[in-house]
Amino acid sequence: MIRFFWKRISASALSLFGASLVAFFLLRASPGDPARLFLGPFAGEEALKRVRADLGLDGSPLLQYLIYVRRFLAGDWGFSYSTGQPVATLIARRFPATLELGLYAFLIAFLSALALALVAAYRRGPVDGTARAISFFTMGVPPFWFGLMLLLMFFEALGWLPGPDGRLSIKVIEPPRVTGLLTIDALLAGDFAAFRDAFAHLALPALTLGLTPFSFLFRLLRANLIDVCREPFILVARSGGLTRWGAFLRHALPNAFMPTLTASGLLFGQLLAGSVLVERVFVWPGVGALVTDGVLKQDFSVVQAFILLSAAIYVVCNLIVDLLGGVIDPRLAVSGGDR
Amino acid sequence: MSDRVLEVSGLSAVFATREGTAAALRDVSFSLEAGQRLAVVGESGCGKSTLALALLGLLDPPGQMIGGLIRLNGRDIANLPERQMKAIRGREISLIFQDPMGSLDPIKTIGSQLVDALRRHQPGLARRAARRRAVELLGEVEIADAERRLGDYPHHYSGGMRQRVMIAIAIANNPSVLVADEPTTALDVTVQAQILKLFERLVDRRRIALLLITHNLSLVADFCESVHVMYAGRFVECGSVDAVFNRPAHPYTEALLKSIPDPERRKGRLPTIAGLPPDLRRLPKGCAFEPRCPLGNGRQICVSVAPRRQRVGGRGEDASAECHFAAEKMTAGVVS
Repeated sequence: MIRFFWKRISASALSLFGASLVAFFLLRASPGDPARLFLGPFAGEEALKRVRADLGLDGSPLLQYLIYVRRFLAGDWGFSYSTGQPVATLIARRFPATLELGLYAFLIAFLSALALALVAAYRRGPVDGTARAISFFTMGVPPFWFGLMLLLMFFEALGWLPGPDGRLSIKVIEPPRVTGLLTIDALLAGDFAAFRDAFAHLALPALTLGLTPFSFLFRLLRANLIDVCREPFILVARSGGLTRWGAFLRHALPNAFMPTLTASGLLFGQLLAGSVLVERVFVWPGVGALVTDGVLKQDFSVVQAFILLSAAIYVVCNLIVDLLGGVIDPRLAVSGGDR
Repeated sequence: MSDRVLEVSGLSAVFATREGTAAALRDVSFSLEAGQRLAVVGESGCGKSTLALALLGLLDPPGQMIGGLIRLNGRDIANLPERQMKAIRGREISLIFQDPMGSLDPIKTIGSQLVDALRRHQPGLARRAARRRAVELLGEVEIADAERRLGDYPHHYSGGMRQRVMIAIAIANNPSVLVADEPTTALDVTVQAQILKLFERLVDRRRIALLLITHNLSLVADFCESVHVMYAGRFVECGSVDAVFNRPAHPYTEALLKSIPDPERRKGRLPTIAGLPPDLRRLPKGCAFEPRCPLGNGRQICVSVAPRRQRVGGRGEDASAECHFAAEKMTAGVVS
C-alpha cells in the first residue's frame, strides 16, 4: 500500500513537471515580445534590453525555465503587463470565486447524479428511461444557453433569484474574509443574511456549470451499477438474507463507484479550469474573465500562471481520487504498485 | 418421515421472453429429509438453476413462479412477502453457486463478509463474537491459519478456498437445507474431490439436507443417495442413485449415462444424445423427449400424449419415471 501511494505521488510530480515545461515553452514560442509589450511601442533598444535582463529573458531557454520555476515556487508569478499588478495577487483575489462556484457545481452534479443513477439502475423500466432522457438533454444542451434560459426564467420572469451581478448583492456587506468562500465565511461570521444572498447568487451559475459533469457522472454510475448487479456476488448476498435494495447499496454501489470516483477527480479539475463561459454569462468575478482578458491582451504571465495552476489542480484532484481508490479497492493497490 | 425438512409440490415457473412464455419448471415435486443428499441432474438449460432460485424465492423478472408449494420446516414459503423471505434466506435455506471467483464481493475482506452473514441473522451478536465465530467457521471448512486470513481479500484466495468460504457463509447460520448449484464445476478435479469430502462431512455432522444440482453424473454416483433427472423443466425419473444408474427406467436417463466418458472404453466415439433440448416456449404436445428418443421414435402415443408419472416397480415409493414405456423397458431390461 505504501509503495502504491509513493508511486502515485511521484507520478503526479512528474506530470506537474511536464505541465510546467509545456506552460513555459508554449508561451515562449508564441509571437509577441514581452519587453515590447511591457514598455510600449516607443521604447528604445537600450530600455528593451534592460527589461529583458530584468525579466530574465536574455539567458538560455534552460536558464529561463529554471528562473521561472524558482520564482513560481517562491510565489512570484510575475507581473501582469496590462494592469501592472502581481499575477499572484490577481489570481488570489479571484480564485476563491471560481473555487466556490466549482465546489457547488460539483456538489450539485455529484449528488444528483448519485441519486438519479441509484433510482434508475434499481428500478429500471420507465424510471430508467426518464432518467436517461434527462441526461441526454443535459449532456447535449450548451451550458451558456442553459444559463441564459435559467436567468430568463428565475430572474426575469419569476424574480426568485438574483440576476447576473456577481457573488453578492450591492447592499450586502461582504463577511470578513477567512476562506474566501463567501457562503462559508458568512456562516463563520454568523451572518445568515449574507449567507442566503451568496447562496442565491451561486444557485443558477452552479446549476449551469454542473450540468455537463452531472450527465457524465450519471451515465457512468448508472452503467456501472447495472453491470455490477449482474455479478454473482449480488445474488449471493441476496441468497444470504439481504433484500435486493440492501444488496444494491452494500455491494453493488461500492463496486460500481470506483470509475465514478476517478471521473469525479477529472471533472472537478475541469470545472475549475473550464468555467470561463459560465463566468461570462453570470458576470462571475472568477479567474475565467482574468484569463480571457489575458489571452486577448497577450498578458503572458497571467496565462502562464493559470495554465500551471490548472494543471496543478488537475493533478492534485487526480492524485486524491487515485489514493482514495487504492483504499477502497485493494486490487488497485496491488496492480498499480507493480506496474 | 418426521425428519422431512423440505417438501416441494407442483412447483412451476415461467420466463417471459419476447417470443412467448418459456416453461422453465413444470410441476416439480420432491422432498428432502435432514441429512439426505439428493441430486438433480440434467443438461444445461433444463431448469436446474431456475429450481435453485425458485426455492429461495430469488426468481427475478422476467422469471416468475406460477404455482406450487414449497414447505420448509413445516411452513409454506412459496408466497411469503420479501420481508419474511429475507429472514429465511441464509438462515433456514442457503445457496451455493457455481462460480467461486465471482461469488464474493471483491472489495470487502473475507472476514467482514463472514461477519456480515452472521450478524444479518443474529443481530444481537457482538462484532468481536462474530469474528470468533468466523474463525471457527473457516476452521470448519478447513482453511489453514484462519485467524490471520480473515483480513484477506477474495483475490488473495484460490478458487478452491473461495468455494470453502462460500460454504462457510452458507452454513454460518445453521440452515436446515443447503442448495448447491454446480458447486464444483469451476474447480479442477483434485479440488473438486476435496470440496465434496468437505460437503460430506458437513452434511453428516450438521444433519443438513443437501440438494446438489449438477450436470456431472459421476459426481452424483459417488456422493448422493437419490437422484432426480430433469428434462425440459420436469423430473422425468426419480429414484435411488443405485437403482437409477444401474437400470434407468427412462430413455433420457439411459442416454445421459451412456454419454459419461468411461476410461476403460477409450476406443470409439463418445455416445452423445442426438438433437437439442426442446424449445421451452414451444413444447411438444406429447413427450418432451420424443424427438430425441430412441424408444419413442415417432410412435403415435409418444407424439400425442404427454406421459404421466409412473411408479417403477420394485424401487420403493419415491421412485418414478415419466415414460409410456418405462414398465416395458424395465421388464425388457430383465431379459437382456
